[in-house]
Amino acid sequence: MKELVENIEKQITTDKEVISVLPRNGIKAIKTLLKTIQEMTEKYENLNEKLLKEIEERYDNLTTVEENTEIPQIEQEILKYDIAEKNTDTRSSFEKMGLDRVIYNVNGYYKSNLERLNKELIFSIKQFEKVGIKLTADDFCISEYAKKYMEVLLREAYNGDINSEAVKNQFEKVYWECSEVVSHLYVNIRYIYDKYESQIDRFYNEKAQEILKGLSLTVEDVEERKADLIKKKNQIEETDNKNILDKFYTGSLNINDYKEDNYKRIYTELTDKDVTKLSDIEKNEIDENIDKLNTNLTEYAKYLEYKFLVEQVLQTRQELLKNAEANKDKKVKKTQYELTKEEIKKLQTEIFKLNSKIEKPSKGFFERKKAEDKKDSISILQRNNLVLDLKKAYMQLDEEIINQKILQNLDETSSLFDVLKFASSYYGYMAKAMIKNNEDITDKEIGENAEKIRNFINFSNFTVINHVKISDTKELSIIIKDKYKLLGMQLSKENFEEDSIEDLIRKVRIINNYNNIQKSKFSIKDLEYIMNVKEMLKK
Amino acid sequence: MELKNIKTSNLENDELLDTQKQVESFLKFLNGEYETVKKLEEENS
Repeated sequence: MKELVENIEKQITTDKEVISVLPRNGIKAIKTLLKTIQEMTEKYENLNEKLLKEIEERYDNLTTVEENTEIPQIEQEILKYDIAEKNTDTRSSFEKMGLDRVIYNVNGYYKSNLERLNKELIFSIKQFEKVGIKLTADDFCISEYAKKYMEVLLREAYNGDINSEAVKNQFEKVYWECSEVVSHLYVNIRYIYDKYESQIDRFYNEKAQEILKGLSLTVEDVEERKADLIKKKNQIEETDNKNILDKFYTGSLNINDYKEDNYKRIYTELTDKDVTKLSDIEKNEIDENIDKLNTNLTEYAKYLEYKFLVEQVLQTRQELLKNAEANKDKKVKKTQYELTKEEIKKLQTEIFKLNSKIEKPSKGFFERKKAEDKKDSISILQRNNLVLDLKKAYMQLDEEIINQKILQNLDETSSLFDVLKFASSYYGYMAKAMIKNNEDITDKEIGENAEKIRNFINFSNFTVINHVKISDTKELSIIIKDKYKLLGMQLSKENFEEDSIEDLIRKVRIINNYNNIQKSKFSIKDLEYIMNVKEMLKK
Repeated sequence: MELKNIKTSNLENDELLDTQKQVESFLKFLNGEYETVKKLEEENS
């Protein structure tokens, strides 16, 4: 301890003694003592003020960190390539438009609410507009109910309130006329897509060509550029001053984990080496491996969250392959997909034939005959049943599409990443797998999880699951463990067990973060100081 | 030692915080003493 600190301590002890030895008998002595205490208080208050000022100044100096301007620039670049990737990837136009989510949510309306339904309906209208198709209520021609509802919804949307009283009243009115109105809307969106499918495909093809031409890149180049940028961004963020500080501020990092003793203990536990006895070259090599292990484990942990999706796809694939094997000798003229497509076409024709009958004006405008009314009612009933059949056919088609694509796009050389990306491309499929995995999941949670999964797929720098093939028989955890054991890391199968994996990830992360902090402007002592003062001054 | 002449800038971060804690604690002590002696004054007057 410095002499100055010792002197202050001594002074405090002396002053304490002065107070305790001064006489307290008699009013004169008491008054003298009070005066001494007051004078002393004033001196120490001045000192305290000086100390607090110094503390605050140092805190402000330490925590004044410039925003790294490179990070938002890279993020912009990543988004540019992400948009390019989303417009040029192999998903169908239906998924590119986001209609997979719309139709899932419209179909699950009974679990949701009217506001959400309206939001999805307007979203789909806007998506069609983006691809050059301006829809009006007349396009909702599957039934008079769908049209009547969309007339009011579109009018109110134009006025800026899709949840107005008029919309609610219209829904109520139409619902009591036909309680399956939402199924009609579902079928109608799908019908509109079918009607304009070739035009929409053309739009995306032209857009993809235009984007790639503009960038002078191939689809693979776009993917590669994006991956490189994500890697670069992650690397910068790891040692970025503001990023490090924010992690401590938000509580994502705890300063107690970064005390030197803790670091040394975990370092030895993971590497079997005394960090203080390592040469710079040795330490750099080990730290590099810890950095890679940290990246791999973070990816692995995230993958575990979504593993059920991969398992679901692989299980479906196995069943499809088994069926294909069992039926390989049977001569099949048309696939199930083709048959369902034909069924849809047939149902659409029948529905519109009935619609034209229903819509035909009666002979006498005011004197509609009872027999004609009856005829109309029968036609409406038949049409409504056909709409429900069409809905079922569409849902069947979705399954057929997924099955067909699983067989077309995935084979033994596909990676776990390919499978996860595949699953994440189909909202309805993903949602069903989530429900299978957790029966209590809500639609809102499905939406949030779907976004998280898609963000994980779109904005990660993959180093593990993109290399491991679905035909690999070794468990992913063993693959990671074996690699780092070869590099001298003290890992065992037990570390990767459900109860232990979090602890391993935490320890590796502490070492890696500690090493990264050393590369920033902060020392651990600085961060300790910052966190202490933050708490003290309630900053 | 004159308290007003203390150069706080010469203290290390942890020393600065420790010293401030000690000063703050001593100020609490002084405050307590003042209250006690003030009561004593009232009793004697």
